[in-house]
This record gives sequence, structure tokens and C-alpha cells, in this order.
Amino acid sequence: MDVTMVRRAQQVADQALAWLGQMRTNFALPRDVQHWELTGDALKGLAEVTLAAAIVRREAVAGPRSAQTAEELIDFAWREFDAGELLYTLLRHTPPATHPVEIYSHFTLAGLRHPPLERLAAHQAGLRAAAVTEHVPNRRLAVLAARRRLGLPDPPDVPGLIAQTWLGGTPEPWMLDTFNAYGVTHTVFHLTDWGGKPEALEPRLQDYLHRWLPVWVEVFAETRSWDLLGELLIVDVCLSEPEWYPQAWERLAAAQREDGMVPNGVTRPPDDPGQAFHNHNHPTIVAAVAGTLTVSRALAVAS
Amino acid sequence: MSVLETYGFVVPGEEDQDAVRHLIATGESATSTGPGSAQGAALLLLAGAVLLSADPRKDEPVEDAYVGMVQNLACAAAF
Amino acid sequence: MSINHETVSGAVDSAAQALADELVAAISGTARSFSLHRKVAQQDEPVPALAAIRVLGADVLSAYLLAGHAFPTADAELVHAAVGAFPAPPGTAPDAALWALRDQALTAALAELGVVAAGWPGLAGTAAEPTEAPHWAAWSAELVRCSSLALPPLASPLREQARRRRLDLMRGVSRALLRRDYPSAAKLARWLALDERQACEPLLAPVLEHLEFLAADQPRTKLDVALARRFVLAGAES
Repeated sequence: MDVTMVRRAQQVADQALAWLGQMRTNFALPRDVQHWELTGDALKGLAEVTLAAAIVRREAVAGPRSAQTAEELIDFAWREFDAGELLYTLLRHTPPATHPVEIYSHFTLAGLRHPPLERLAAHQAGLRAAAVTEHVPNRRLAVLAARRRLGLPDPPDVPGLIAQTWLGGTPEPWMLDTFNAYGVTHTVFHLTDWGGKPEALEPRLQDYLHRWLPVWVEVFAETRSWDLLGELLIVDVCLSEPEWYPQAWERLAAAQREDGMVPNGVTRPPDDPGQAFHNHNHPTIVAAVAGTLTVSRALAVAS
Repeated sequence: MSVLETYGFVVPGEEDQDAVRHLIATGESATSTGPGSAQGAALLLLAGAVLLSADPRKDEPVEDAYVGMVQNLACAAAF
Repeated sequence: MSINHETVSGAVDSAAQALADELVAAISGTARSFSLHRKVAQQDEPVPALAAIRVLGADVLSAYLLAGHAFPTADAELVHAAVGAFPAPPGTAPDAALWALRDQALTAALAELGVVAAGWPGLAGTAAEPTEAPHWAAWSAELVRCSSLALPPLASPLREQARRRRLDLMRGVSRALLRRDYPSAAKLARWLALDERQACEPLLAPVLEHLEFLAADQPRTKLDVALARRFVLAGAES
């Protein structure tokens, strides 16, 4: 680990967070639709920016300006969800849906709670239905992580859930594609609670990632896949012994726009930030999380 | 006449000499065509488009008698 | 000289691919006989055929070294002629070190077959051993270029490195496969196969099979895979 890399990570995170703060009204939920008409995209964007801000708050390594922006983003998102009431309404409307609890769990990272929602979630977690939702395997771990944040018991066969993921199968490393790569990153995010518990990722999977993450970082840095590269850099700092990848950080920092937005690397962003928002807010959120966790882990290792 | 005598006087042109040197010096491919590359990205966009079609509001009105079906499907798939 | 390029088109490349095809048949046991000079004698134009011998380097001797084909004097003379027709670049050229390593391998392989090549005009002089790149990606890129050194009877510092840096090699193979750069993947797999017996790599078998499916239309890649198979087989038998 070198100081320049940590400084880069800090700078990327600060600028990304500043952009997210400036653009925050773009995350607002539309006012003129019924709750059941809210799109997946709208809910997802607001949920993700909440998560990023909650991680900035949890890690507590940001400077005063970034810390302030994170607080404002959490407040903004919590207000958008009507202090959790909207998520509670969504859950009551479609009890088998998992996204209301997943989104809600991001707020609990920041210490915000909605007791009636938690009681309903606890009831549902005990139903047979909770074990058989038709999700892709890594999404099951997102639900698991949300349950853990709410203090609910784990489902009976967590090793079985992990074994079903791409990462859990420790496949031939060259068989990774973009879709499965996102599966790998999310498996790690959920099992370590975004780097909060690196040791929660079993040694077998840590070993596997130590062997092959360098290859994937190299491949996706070469193709300028900034969104995925950012997620892979998060994976690195979710491990017990990160590699840090200073060269990849240099490249990600160079790709970041002056205003703080990180392009996804797949589509060319328009100049107008408002127009660029839709396709490029995700990589910017990823960059904020990656930078924050990298700085935090580096400080922890150094101390 | 021995093989060496037969071929010992072959004098290749500069182009052939260059081709040999070039082929010998050729290392790994200069560009990646795997995941994340321009070709791979096209597939990613296609996958994105398939996902977007789960949201019919782009081109057509929602006829969601259940109220909430569109959101339910989109959130189950896209998170 | 380190050129990152796709293969050049033209007669030399075609001849190299054709010769690789012949070698695959010879070392896989599907061809009863193999002879370099008979093949060249059939050509109207000998230059590309001689060029192909130079391009494949020590690999052209693999059928004799590994598959028990007799090595007639005429074939040795043909290699001699190819070296003369396509001499190594001057020692100051950027690709001189690469040629020096390859010609050391060629000379050593000829010696294994009882042919003393010392003094042949056109052979590269000796060069300082290149420094070993610490980063796995840069190091494996170097091994791609030097794949003709990966033959069982030949010792070299690169072989020592390849025996030591198994994970780096496998990372190189994986990266090449992900980049769909099958020629490089096959060359690195060949290095892995060379000393498989001392340092087993469980992913080697699926890599070779994968390449056989995906690079079936690339003779030079097939040659590297066939050589790798042969190395593994020989290692298992010895």
C-alpha cells in the first residue's frame, strides 16, 4: 500500500460524493405517481445513494465537507421514503417482495429505524415463502445481508446459498463474464457487509479471490469498464488482506470527470450532468464507496 | 546436390525478412475482445435493453391490473 | 523488439501455419512420417517454407524430439539453410535478445539430435539474460514471446522461473483467455505443461480442452496445445 494510492482513493471518493450531493434531486422519487408505480430504477438509485452515504458515515474517514454531504444525502433519502413509511407501505402492498426490506436495511446502517416495518419483516422472515423467492443466487445474499442488518436470524442453509453463487462455485477464472462479475462483487459485498466484516468471507473464497482478482482487475481496467472496475476495487478492500491495486486507482482517478462524475466506461456521457445522470450515477456511487472503503481499510492497516 | 546446397543460396526479399522478424516478435494480442471490450459491451447493452423491456412504459402504457406488477418484476430482476 | 500485433498476413504466415499443422499431426501420432525437406521440396516457392522454419524455431524439431520421428541429415541441412536465409538481426537491434534466446534453444535442440550448429551463419550471438519482470502480467507476456524455449530437453532461466511462478503463469493464461487471445493462452499453457509433474496445476487440463474447442481453426495455437499435451503425457510416463 502506498500513500499516493490512498490519496487518490480519497480524492475520487470526495469528488464523487460532491457530485452525488449536487445531483441529489435527480434521485428524488416522482411525486405524481402511486407508490406501486414507482419504477425499479427510481427505487434502486435512491437505495444505492443511501447505501453509499451510509457507508461514508459508518467508516467515518471523510473530511468535514464529505461527511456533511453524506448526512444530507441520508436525510434527503429518508425524507423521500417518508421516514420509512413508504417502504412499509410497499411491503404491505406486496409482502413477498424483498426490495422494501433491502432498501430499508441501508438506512439501518445509518441508525434510522421504522419499528412497524421491522415487525412485519420479522414475521415474514419466518414464513416458508421467505426461503424460496425466485432470485438469482447472489440476490439471495442481499436479502440475507438485509436480514442481518435488521437483527433477524439467518435462514437455515447459508452455506448452501453461498454455494449456489458463481463465486461460491470457485469456477475456472477465465469463465467470468460481465454479468457473472457483478454476481461475484455482490456476493462479496453482502457476505462482508460492505467490508464491515472481511473475516465473514470464508478462507476458501478469500483464497480464490487472492488468486484471480488481480486478473479481473487487469482485464476490466484495460477495457475501461469503470463501473465494474470500481466494484472489483471494493471487493479487494472487503478481503482480509487487500492488494490495493494502485495502478487501477490511477486509471479510475484519471477517468473521473472534473465535476466528480465517474463515467460507466460503456456509453459516452453527454456534457450536461442532468442528462448524464441516468447512465452514470451508478459508477459514481461505486467510486464513492470504493474510495471510502479503501481509505478506511488503509488507515486500519496502518494503525 | 545436398539440401543445404539446394537451398543455401536462397536470398529472401526484404518483405519476407520483415515478415519473419515481425512474426517472431509478435507477443500477446494488442487488444482485448473479451468481456468489457467494445464487443463485450455491445452484449452488455443488449442485456440492458432486455432488462429495460421489463418496463413497458418506455413505448406503451402500463396495463397493470394487479397494480405493482411492473415494479415487482423490475425490482426482483434489476437490483 | 516487442511488437504487439495481430499476425501479419501473407505467404510467410500461411507457411508457418501450414507447417504447424504438419507438426500437430506428427506429434499427435496421426501422421506416420514427418519430413521437413520433403515438404519443402514439394513447394514451388521455397522462401516462405524456409521462413516458416525460422518463425517456428525449435518447435520444428519437436516431432523428432518428442514423437520419435527420425531426423534425417537432409532435415538438419534444411534448418541450416533456413538459418542462413533468415539471419538473426544485429546485436544492437531491439529484437536481438529475443532472437538470441530462441537461437540458443534451437542450437540446444539440434544438439539433442546430434547436430552441432555452432558456427552456422545466421545464428544469433549470445545476449544477456533479460531481467525477470516482477509483475505477473508483464512477465507472462515475455514468456509468450519465448514459447519455443518451452521444450522438455531444454534448460533455461525462463524455465526455472516458470517452474517457480505457477500462479503467475495461470493468471497469465486466464487473462489471455478472458481477452480471447488464444495464441498467447496456448503458449503460456505450454509453459505450465512443461514441468507439470513437479508442480501440478489442476486448471491445466480444462484450459487445454477449452483451447482445443475454441482455437480449432488456429494451427499455431493447436501446435502449442498439442505440445502441451505431449509434455503432460511424457511427464506422466517418466
